[in-house]
Amino acid sequence: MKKQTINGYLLLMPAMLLICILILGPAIKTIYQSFFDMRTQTMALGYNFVNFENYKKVFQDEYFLKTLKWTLQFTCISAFFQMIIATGLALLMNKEMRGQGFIRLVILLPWSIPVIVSGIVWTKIFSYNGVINTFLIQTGITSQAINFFGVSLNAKFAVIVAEVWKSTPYLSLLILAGLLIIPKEYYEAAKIDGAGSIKSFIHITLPCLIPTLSVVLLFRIIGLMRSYGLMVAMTGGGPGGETQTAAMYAVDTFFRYGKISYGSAVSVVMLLVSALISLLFVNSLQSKVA
Amino acid sequence: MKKIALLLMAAVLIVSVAGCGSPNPTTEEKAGDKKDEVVTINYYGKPDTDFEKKVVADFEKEYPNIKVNYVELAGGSNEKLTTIQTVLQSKDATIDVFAADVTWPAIFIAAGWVTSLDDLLKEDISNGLLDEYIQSALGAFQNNGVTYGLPYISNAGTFYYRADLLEKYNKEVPTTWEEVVDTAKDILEKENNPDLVGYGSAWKQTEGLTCAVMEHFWDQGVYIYKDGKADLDEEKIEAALQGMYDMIYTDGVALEATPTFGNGDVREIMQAGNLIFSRDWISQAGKFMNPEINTVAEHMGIAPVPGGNTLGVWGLMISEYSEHKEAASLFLKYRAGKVVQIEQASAINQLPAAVGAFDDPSVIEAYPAAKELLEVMNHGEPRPLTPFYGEVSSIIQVETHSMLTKGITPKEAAANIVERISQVIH
Repeated sequence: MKKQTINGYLLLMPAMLLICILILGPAIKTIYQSFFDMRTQTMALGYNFVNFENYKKVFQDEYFLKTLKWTLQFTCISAFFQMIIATGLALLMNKEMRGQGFIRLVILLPWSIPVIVSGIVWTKIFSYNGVINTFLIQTGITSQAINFFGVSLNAKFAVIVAEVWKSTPYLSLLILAGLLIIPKEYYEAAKIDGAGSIKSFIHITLPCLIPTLSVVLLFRIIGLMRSYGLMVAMTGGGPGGETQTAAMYAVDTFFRYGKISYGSAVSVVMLLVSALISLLFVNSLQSKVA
Repeated sequence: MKKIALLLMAAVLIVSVAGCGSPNPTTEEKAGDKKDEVVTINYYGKPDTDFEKKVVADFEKEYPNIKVNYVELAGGSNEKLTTIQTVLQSKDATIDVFAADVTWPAIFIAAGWVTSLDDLLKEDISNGLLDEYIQSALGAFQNNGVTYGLPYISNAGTFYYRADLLEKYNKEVPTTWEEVVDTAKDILEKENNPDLVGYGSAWKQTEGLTCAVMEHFWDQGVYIYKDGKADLDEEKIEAALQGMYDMIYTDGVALEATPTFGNGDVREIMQAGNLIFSRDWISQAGKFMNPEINTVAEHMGIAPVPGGNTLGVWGLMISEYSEHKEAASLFLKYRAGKVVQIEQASAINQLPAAVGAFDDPSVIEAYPAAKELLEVMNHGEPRPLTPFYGEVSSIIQVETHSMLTKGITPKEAAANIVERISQVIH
């Protein structure tokens, strides 16, 4: 092996070591635990190997399936709006104009706010005595406050709005990076050929941006599948468990209920679902790039 | 140049390996019997301004051979539980003493993660140490006559009412939920004030909802878990849930948005003078009695919650995996002692759990209604003391909240609660 290659591997070692200890280790432990019947409450008495029993239970667990369904709905709807708005914001940030620095700062501001703080702020906005209800009542649009967190559909709408607001700026930043690497010559050539801005966008910007958009969408989907903090801060999973995500269910099962093995199995299933989605995207991404 | 680069790489490797080593800072300082040996213990406590740091400094002055490393337990009760559970589950000796919420001891005792204080504080206990505490609060940290922790912060569900309105209409303070509804309905009708609300409680889908629901269950004589077995009378549970449902949708004494209210939302209405009855916590008493915060502070009355006052006590426990149990027990005894509890009342507005502290002038100054609050604490009821409490509470929360937001009927909610809890505790 070349000396340069050895040096390369040596440089990778610290990062690999940390990945092994902090990511791979816990992941293997979680998978291992999922094949036993470990419970916090009965740990002192020992535990047994139960094969795939926990996984069978996971797929028969109506509460888990309910949280999984909501997580998928939440992921699809949020990702859809986030991608559209983020692309628009990225195009705006890419435009040469006065005050661009200020525009970028304002767009990126929500991203810099911690999730829990965002959740609390949006709770105040949507709550019974909140900003929206006060505005609606004082302007005479409605006579009664809208019950945002007490009605399933309203609560789901509220958390999706908060999620889109919170994460779109980050996506727009990633898409902006993709926009910046599109060669300016393409646009100049299109201009000479008489293409307008809409045609340039459809025939140059969008095709060149597709690999970036695929990666951004992949990141977002994986992130949304693990949604936890925003829901905890805004609804606590309510009304009646309607906004409880699969990640919340996994944490509750593992920590609050003390079902170590079953909670591990739920987490592994979630990992597999995320991995499956990621694989689909990586394949489509590779074909696009090719 | 290459040699320097290689040397740097090796250094980075060594640092990263060292950084991933044992997180236990006490391993080098094993507890010893020798008096001159310094022992370091780790205390995972509730965060506050600077009070805990002061307590630690005072303790270290008194016990120069014990150093206390204070670690702030961040987040809400669930996040704190997650932190503690992660460490104890891995049998890590990093935690010596820790602050525990009232619902945790049952879980930790069953798991064998906490150590009994009966031997560690044998002499103090035989000298009457346990008699110094409010018995309902202490009971949450005991199991089969064995003591696993000492309470140091009191809290319980408390019933606040507008004494002026009750007096105006010649009404008694209600002692049942039925009386609460009747009294509120009557006052609302006579006052004819569209902003006035009869009853408020934090019924958002959180642990607070379980606390509130339990008080309705107790009023019907159903305990969910009592004397080591399930206590699930479906009819009584349904009656309790129907009562909560009717408060909103039939009697109209509670707002339709009540199931979305956290404590803060209810307090806003109360402090604006628009609430007749409020179910809140003892810890709020100081603020409710403060005219700078509450516009109707001089009219506030305090009484036990109809049905019972849910305990919200915090105590201190010692990890079974601690390598310095004796030093830890000395700190536990000091932090949960009467003297520090008296200080905490005025310093951080946390009500003591030691009975003697309630007579102290500084506590009475911080809590003018200290006598009534002690009475409330004496009637404190623990939530179901089962190791499976987390799951039981979650079932109660989800089913009740579904019912309160009209997803299911009280009858369906009661049936679901009985069916699902029966599968968890037998």
